[in-house]
Amino acid sequence: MKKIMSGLVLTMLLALPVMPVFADDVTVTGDVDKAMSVTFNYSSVAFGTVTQGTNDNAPSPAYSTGVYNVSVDTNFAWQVDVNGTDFTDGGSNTFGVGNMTVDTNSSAGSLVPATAVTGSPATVGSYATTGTSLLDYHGYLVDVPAYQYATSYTSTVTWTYANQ
Amino acid sequence: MQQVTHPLSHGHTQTNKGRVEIMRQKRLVDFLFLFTLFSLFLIIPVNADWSQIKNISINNTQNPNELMDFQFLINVTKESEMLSGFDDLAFFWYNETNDSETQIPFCLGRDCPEWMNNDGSLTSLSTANDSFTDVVLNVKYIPASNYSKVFMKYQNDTPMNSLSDSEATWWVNDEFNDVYLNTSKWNTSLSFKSANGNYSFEESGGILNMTTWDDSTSYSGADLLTYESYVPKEDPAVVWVSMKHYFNSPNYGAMSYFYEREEIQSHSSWFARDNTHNGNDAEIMYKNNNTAFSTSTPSIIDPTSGYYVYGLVTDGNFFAFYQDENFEDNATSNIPSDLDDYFSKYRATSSLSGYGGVFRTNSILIDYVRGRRYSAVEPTYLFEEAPYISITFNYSSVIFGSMTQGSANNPAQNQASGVYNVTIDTNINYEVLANATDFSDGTYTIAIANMNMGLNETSAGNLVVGDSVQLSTSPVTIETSLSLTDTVNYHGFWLDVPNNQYASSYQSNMTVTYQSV
Repeated sequence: MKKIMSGLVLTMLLALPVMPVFADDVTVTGDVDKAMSVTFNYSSVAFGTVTQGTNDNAPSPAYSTGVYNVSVDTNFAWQVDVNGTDFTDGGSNTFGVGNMTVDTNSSAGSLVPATAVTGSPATVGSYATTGTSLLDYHGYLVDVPAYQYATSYTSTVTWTYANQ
Repeated sequence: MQQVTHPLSHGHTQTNKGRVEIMRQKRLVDFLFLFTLFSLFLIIPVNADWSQIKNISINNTQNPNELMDFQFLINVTKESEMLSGFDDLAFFWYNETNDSETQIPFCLGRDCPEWMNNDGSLTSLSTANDSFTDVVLNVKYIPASNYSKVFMKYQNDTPMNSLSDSEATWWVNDEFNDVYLNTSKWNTSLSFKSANGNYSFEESGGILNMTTWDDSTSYSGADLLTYESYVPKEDPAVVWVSMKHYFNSPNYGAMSYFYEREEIQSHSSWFARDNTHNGNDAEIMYKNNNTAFSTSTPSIIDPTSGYYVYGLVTDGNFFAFYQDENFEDNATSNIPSDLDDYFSKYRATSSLSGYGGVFRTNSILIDYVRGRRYSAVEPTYLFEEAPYISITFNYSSVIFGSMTQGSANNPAQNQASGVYNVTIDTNINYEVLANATDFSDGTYTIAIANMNMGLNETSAGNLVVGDSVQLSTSPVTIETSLSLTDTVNYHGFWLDVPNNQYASSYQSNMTVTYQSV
């Protein structure tokens, strides 16, 4: 509460006799919440046929083409975390999700998948850029252990986008 | 504006020449002393800051004519803040057209001892140091059928000389306190038929002595003394002039002719020229100690007596003392039939009873000349309480809290409950303006145009964004024409958050202004 003494006011006004004026300053504050919206533009990654005992097998189509991307709208700095499940054929054959490495980048051509996926979320990238329709590209590589049982394997990868 | 009014008084009533001369000398001494004294005072800086004010509302609504540079009489009651003798008074005319004020001349009663009333009577003016003072204002402009406003200011903490200035206040004014005739006010000229004629103007002790002499029996005189450069040209019907005047004809008689008009008779002491008296004429009348005029015969004036002369002498352009060009030296029968051609003449003539001889020397002694503008319908005035407005803000901040980017019309927190309110104490109708800076967190900003402000004088519940006003960095009017009876205002605020506005805490500094309308 701001109480102005009327005597002081009158003194001020009398020095400016034409028309009395009173002005007060008010501080106005507002907090804008963090907001983020992400649209995945792909739902699956197919590595196709790969050979046991080989490394850095790329999916098809290749990630460098930019097909694995998400569109981000955000008003604050953000980061990308990733985690996944082990590859499995639905039966007893599995191999660790750690054989898969990923990367995120705002340029598909700059992707260098080098972060091994684990069962727990790990930060793959951090960004200060805000705005709408920000494209974030994903890159994947997978290693196939030697003598990995030949069959079809599936893993579920979870990408988490969040404001910092 | 800052002038020192000469302090000499002007009350000559002595008619014996010897006594007058003594008095003149004494006054001259007084003048020299006081001149030195006031010269010392003049080095004191004059402070232009007055902390007190009163409004004088001048009501000219009954007058269809505008008045300019108009002499206006008021009475001022002494306030405790005023200096003794009202020495700190100052007056300012308020110009409504451009919201400015102009300092105007005025004259305290002690410096302007008489006021010329519209009915022709005189009122003595005075200054009672501890109670009141009469003040003659020179109001710059009073519109026809309307009001004008003058501010009276006082309480100046810096020592100052009184600004009372009779010469600047009256329409015409000369107290003849100069050493020489003030030629910035007066033009002098006289022509004579006789090569031996001449004239002189001597100013001493507050008296102007206009002397002519000639040893011929006739001469033709033009203007003797005209008061023109100091006076704007205007219709003389709107002015009153008074002067105190003596004849001094040491060896001979003096005689005046006068032309008395009906309208003159309606005034007991003062002369007013009327518009029906056409032509480039001039008039004057003599009045011998307030006795009635004769309308049929010239007055013979005893040169040893003092006479008050009241007159407005003008050809429509300037104020003047004239010598009649048809002046002749003998016989009262020579009163010109065309009285419009002249207003006065004085002479010594052998035909006048008791005063023989030819025309030699005559003097007119003038103590003062004062004139004011005249209006048939005089304005009235009223001291008004100074306008004031005192606002108590019952909030110092507006909080919007958390908002979502891309959201519109976010109300400030709790505004519906009336938390953003002010209380108003004022004697004027008022309006509210506001301006604010853009919101900023130090890096990112939200333009202030995203914020609206509304006002309701009855209930916070009535605040709706539809009645609000978009803010700007420059003041915008939130509400106008609020009544002085609206003693509480509820404020409402709404903020739009642009899409993808960076998430942060933002702040804006807003100024809310209350002012009279």
